[in-house]
Order: sequence, then structure tokens, then C-alpha cells
Amino acid sequence: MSKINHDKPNEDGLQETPENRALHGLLSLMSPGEPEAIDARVQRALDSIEQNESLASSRRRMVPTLVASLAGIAAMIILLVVIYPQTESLAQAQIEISQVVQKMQANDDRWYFIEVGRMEPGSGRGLVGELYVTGEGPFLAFTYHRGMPRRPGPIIGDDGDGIWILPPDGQQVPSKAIPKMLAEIMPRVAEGGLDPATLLQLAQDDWTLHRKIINVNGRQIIRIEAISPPMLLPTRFPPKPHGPNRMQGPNREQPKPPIGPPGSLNEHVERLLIDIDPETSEFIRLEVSRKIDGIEFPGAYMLFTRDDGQRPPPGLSPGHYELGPGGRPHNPFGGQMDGGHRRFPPGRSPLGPGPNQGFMNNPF
Amino acid sequence: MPSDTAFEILIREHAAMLTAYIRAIVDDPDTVEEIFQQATITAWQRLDSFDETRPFAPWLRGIARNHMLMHFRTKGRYRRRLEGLFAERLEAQFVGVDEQLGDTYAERLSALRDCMTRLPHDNRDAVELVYLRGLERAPAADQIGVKVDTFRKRLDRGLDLLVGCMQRKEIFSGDRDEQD
Repeated sequence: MSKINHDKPNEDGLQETPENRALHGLLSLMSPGEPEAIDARVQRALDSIEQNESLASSRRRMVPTLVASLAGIAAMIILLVVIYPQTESLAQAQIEISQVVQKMQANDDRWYFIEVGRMEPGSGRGLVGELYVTGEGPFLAFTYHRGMPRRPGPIIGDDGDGIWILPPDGQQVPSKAIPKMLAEIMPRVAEGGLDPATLLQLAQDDWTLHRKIINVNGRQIIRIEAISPPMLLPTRFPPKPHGPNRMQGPNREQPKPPIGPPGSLNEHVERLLIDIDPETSEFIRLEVSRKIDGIEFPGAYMLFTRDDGQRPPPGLSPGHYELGPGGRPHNPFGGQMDGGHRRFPPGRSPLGPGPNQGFMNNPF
Repeated sequence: MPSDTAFEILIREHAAMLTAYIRAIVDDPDTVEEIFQQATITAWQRLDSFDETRPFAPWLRGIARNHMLMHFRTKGRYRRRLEGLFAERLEAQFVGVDEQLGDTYAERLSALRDCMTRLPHDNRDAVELVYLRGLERAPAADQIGVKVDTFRKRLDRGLDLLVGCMQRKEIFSGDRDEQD
């Protein structure tokens, strides 16, 4: 629970207007710990509903949002590779999955080149970067904008206590889905999979599955296409009803055509395209797209390229990251990254927590 | 009817908005919590009546407002915030945020963060100490070495500038004059 005294704007006679009160409510979201407090608040409400309405049976299958559903992709990949289409029994599948997980976890200190972007042709958007994976969980990903190595993107990491995202300019938390997608997927890449029982639960969610072997640069690659059943979900990125966002210039990519009023429910069908190397059980490519009310929306893609032996393992460990001058994180691409101590996750700034720190790291 | 899956998604997506909306009206943290719980449960119970072609956020705020009206049947200060033009204008500010592009409510508030970065240093410090650090005014004033009255003026000015900034960005409605 936030410690903020939410009565402050009024207590000294500040003129009370609807605008001031709205601002007060919105600013209250920016206090440190507020995201956790909101999560707890929602959970209490859902628990109450569950008690009253016997929701328990379906709650485990709730996969919040397309981005969140990506968290299970890695799990599903392993599941699909190993047991689809030759699943014989739950027990047998669990054994096989466990073997693959062990194989992947035994492969410590990985370095990948990653490329993340949108699928619109010619958009030129996207991030490239390097991903360091140490052991089973922690990872650190440096990103920069494609073709602009001195324009850094977010740094994303898992220090063992949780995932954090550091914005490139030190002024706002990344606001687009890609960093979040990275954050959702990276731990799974690092871990090599999820709990087998969870995997099986995901696979039983009525997705339509196709699996085939393709040839990519002389390599035999397993390609899996997974298509979700239609789901009623709130539509993302609703455009402003009265025209394009003024912040976007005329040559910028415009919002997609409206599917429904902002926040309304529409029929979503999600499609995942996954390439995986059967030799190493590693990801090579992952694509996400979806149809909303029958309209095809290009999604995001992510490419992984492992660089075997050409770079030494970075030797990163939980809670330890390379620091540049002035306490700034070291940019492996050569440029000094801006933002100074603001770029550190909560509690990790060498300057200690300051008044800006919650603001910088609280996604609200 | 939306599934329970969709409901959980909707509630998680709108939880920050709902919290902010309730706090815009109610000052007591325990009451904020109580209203949030009541509104969420009512939303679930009345999901059948939700028009799926309409935005969810105003519908949810309407439920929360009804709960607050019942809760504060006799408290004039809160009633004033919940009724008439005040309530309409308050709703308009939240609709303005609803309409911002963003995958999450936090992203829809990126303009507010931008406005904060544009505040004069003194005013920004005051806003951050109160809202980001959760300090009372006296210790906040003490921390930056100014009198409480001075701090209060800086905070009030900072909030006023933020409202103006949000209006210039056409997120908040109103006909405020340019201020900075």
C-alpha cells in the first residue's frame, strides 16, 4: 500500500477542481510500490469473486493479453517439439519435457544476437541487440535501434529478484510492447522452459497446431504454427476517435484502423510462428500476429542468433553488471549511454535511492 | 458475454485507472480500497449487462461512482465531487487519458511524465517528494531546506502547471490559459 497521503492537494486550500482531483489520482499511481499494490488489490478482488462465483476452475487458464500469453511460448515450444504430435500420455510427456529442459539448462553462459521488430514491411522499426544469459534464470539484454548503434534502446534484465527495464533516455519507462515482450520471453529463453505441468495446461488450451520441418540455410528447422481459438479480448492500441495522434508526424506510421471503440471487446485470434533448432533446442525465430474481428494485424518478430565460440561469455551474475564512468552501465557497442544513475533498477543505483528513482522505475 | 478470462484481463488492465479515479474522489486509503473491491465485484456480477461494443472504462467508473454515492450519502464534500458538473468534468479528464495510445494505462500516462520533466526544478522536486516519495509536506520541506509555506506554494504551482500542460496536450479538457 502506498504511503502517500492522498489528501495533500486539498489540505492547504488548493483550489479544488475536477482537473486537480484527476491529476491527484493519476499522480498517486506513480509512487514506488504502487504497481505491486494494484496487483494485490486486483488479486483480492478476484479472490473474492472466486469465492463467490466458483471461478477457481478457470482461473489457471487465464492468460492476460497477447503479450502475457507470450510468456508461455517458450514452454509451448518445448512442449510442441517434444510431444507434438506424438503425445502419448501426460506422464510420458512430462518425462520428455524434463529431459529437454535439463539439456537446455546445462548450457550456461550463452550469448545471442537478437533482433526484434514489427513485421510491417519497410517500417524500419525495431531493435537489435545482444542477450547475455547466465545460468538458469538471470539475463541481460542490451538493445539499440536498428542501424543506429549509438542510439540505445532499453536495457532489460533479470537479476534473480525480478525483471526490470531501463529506458534509454532515463526519462520514461518504455512504452511499447516490444520491450515488454522481450521481458516476458527472455526469462524463458534463459530458463529453457517452464514447469512441465504448466506447459501441458497451455497446450490443452485448444490451440490449433501445425508442425513441419523446413530448410533454412541448409539447416533443418522445426517450424511450429500455433493458432489460438477465438477469444473476446480488449483491443490494443485503440486510435483516437477524432483522428491520428498529433504527436505523430505525417510520415510516421499511423494507428491501425479502428476495430471498435477504445477498450471494447473484439474477437482476437492469435498466431504464433516459431522456428527452433532441433539440434540445440534453441529458439531461432519467433513471430506473433493476430486477427481482430477478421482483420489481419502484423505482429512482432524476434530472431535469435547464437554466436558459438566467437565471443567469450560475459560472466555476468545476478546483481552484478558492468558499470561505466559515473556509474553508468557499460554499453557493449561502444557508445556511452545516457541517463546516468537513473538507468539502474530500484535499489541498485550507486547513488542510492533518490526522489527520481521510483518515478523512473514505476511503470505508472 | 465476456468470458471470465476476458473479465480478468479487463480488470487488470483497468485497475490503475480505477484506482486513480477513486482516489480522485476519495481521500481515505481504506475507503479507496473498499470501493475498489466493491466496484470490481459488482462489475463481475453485472457483466451480462455490459455492452461489449462500448468501452469498458467508463462503465467501470460508473459502477465505482455509484458505490461512492452510496458510501458518501451524507458527506457533502465527496458528494460534490460525485455529482453535477464536477463529476462530468472529472469523467472528461479520465476519458482524455482513456483515449491516449498505449498498451497499458501506464503508457497512456506518458504525457503526464513528459509534463513532469518540463516542470521548473523547484516545482518538480516538490511534486516528486510528495507523490513519488510519499512524504508529508513538513518533512519534504525540511528535506530540501525550505519553509513549509514555501514548499506548499511550490507544490501547488507544480500541480497547477501539470494541469495546464495536460490541457495543452489536449488530454485534460478545459480552457486554461497557457502557463509556462
